[in-house]
Amino acid sequence: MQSAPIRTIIAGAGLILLAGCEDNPRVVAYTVPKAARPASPATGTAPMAASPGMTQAVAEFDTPTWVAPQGWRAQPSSPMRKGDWKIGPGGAEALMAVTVFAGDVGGLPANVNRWAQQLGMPALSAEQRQKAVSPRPLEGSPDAVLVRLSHDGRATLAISAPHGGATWFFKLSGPASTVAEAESDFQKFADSVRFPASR
Amino acid sequence: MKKFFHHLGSMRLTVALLLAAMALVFFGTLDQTRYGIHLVQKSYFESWLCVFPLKADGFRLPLPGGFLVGSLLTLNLLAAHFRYFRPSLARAGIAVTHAGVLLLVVSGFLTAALQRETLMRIGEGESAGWSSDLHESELVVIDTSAPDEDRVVAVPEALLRRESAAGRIELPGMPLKATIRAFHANAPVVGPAMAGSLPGARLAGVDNGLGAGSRLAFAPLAEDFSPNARNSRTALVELFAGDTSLGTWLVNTDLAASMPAQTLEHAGRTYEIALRMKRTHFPFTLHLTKFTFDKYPGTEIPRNFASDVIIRDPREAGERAVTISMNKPLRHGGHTFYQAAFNQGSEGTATTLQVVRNPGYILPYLAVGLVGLGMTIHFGIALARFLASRAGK
Repeated sequence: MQSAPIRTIIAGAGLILLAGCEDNPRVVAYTVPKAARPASPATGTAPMAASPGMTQAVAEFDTPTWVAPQGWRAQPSSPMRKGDWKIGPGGAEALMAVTVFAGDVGGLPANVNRWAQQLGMPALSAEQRQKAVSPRPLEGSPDAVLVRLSHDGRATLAISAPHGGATWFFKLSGPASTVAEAESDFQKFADSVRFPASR
Repeated sequence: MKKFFHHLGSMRLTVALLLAAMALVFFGTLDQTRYGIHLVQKSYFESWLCVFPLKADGFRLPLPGGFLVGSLLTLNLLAAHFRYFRPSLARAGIAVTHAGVLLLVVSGFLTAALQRETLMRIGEGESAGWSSDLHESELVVIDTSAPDEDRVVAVPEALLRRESAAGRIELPGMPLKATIRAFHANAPVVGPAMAGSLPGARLAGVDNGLGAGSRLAFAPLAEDFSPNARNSRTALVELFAGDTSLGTWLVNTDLAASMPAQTLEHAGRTYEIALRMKRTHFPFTLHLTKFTFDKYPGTEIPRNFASDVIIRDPREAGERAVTISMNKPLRHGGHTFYQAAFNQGSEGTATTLQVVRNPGYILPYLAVGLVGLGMTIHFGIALARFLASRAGK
């Protein structure tokens, strides 16, 4: 028969050992509603995080030249964003961005769905995607396509242009009225894009 | 047994343990300059045994870990209490004080074992129902085939670090298994042209996903333990359906944070594979309506950061709007949300909240209250005795 103090000490030691034990690492499975996932990998509007490695990878790609239309207000660029402009009146501004990523960035369907979700749309079916996408060759990127999306007063016009192991995105998005007004300038901008010959 | 009990409650052991605690703090502080607070806290204070320095060739000084010192101090206090204490009203204050100190030690253990700190990032006009760990990553395979929910299988970093020694890892509820071909705690991904100029860099040599399409390479570096370090976790993962290999993927935490997901199709279902910082999902979401960044007029000196959020919790009727600011955290669902950081860029504004879960957070307050109460009782009795003896003279 143990005495009360010893029983208390053993109980205390047990509690401490229990509290100090680390979880055994194990695989877990769970479900999450689709809505709980962000539109883009970081968050829909948060700036993209670029590691030094990704920045180096991007720096290796052949950067095309272009001519930005008058009235597009240039913003500071970053390693991943090669061009950045604000377009249209304050309060109804659209944003134009040129970005580049390695490879096919998950493929065209994944990118179209990402842009659709940024507009608050659900993921598109194959048929809906087909309607949204049309060929839009660029000088040096004959397989480039134009993606046209609009939802709830907002719109996106984006060109996805594969070139030299990378994919370039020319994306105009914002209030549908501003995007519609800026479309002819967007097309002129696309016509001015020139990729250098692949190394 | 009696002799053991006698030693366990001795003042000599108390002094020795306090000296050990001082040594632990001293050597832990020395190593903190090289390995950062997180690793030192884990290795020195949330462990049973540790060595100084943490990583070195040659002689290393073994030390008792914080758990060992703390638990022996607890047993020492308990043993001394039962050895010397004789119940009486005059000593009630001491008993209450001892109970408070014990509760403080226990709350320290509970905090070490149960407290979790993560980060939640929300863009303006967006909602978030999960947060990311600061230090630990996880490999996830996500079945995105269902229309309204995704099935996620997450393999913790501790298993990834065992690499192929972990064997073929079963992914519950999926007809897939994974083998970790390599895991690097810090290996930035670079393009193929850079691989030649970075020491140790090698082509990923994978046959699927971004790594294959772009012929990406990675450069294993030493893990950086400094407080603001951003280690780029990288793994090479081979997936199997039964005994048939489906290919090998390069996954990296920076790729997961900045690029669309890598996908694969198998048996009519679509899966995503990624290495990301470990996520904690909540049964509620926070929607950021507005982020405010005030500066002192005419200066760039920050005056206040505040996030206006709406809590949407299916367990509660309706929504609730709250403002989280620098000194006004939000407590909800057992979690505390602190305003931690923000990003303002051309793509919009995002806030970052530090999310702390500590089920035992109330215990230190109770412990300190008990100690205060015990001391009040003890000194109150002593004062009453003194006054009574003076009145009797």
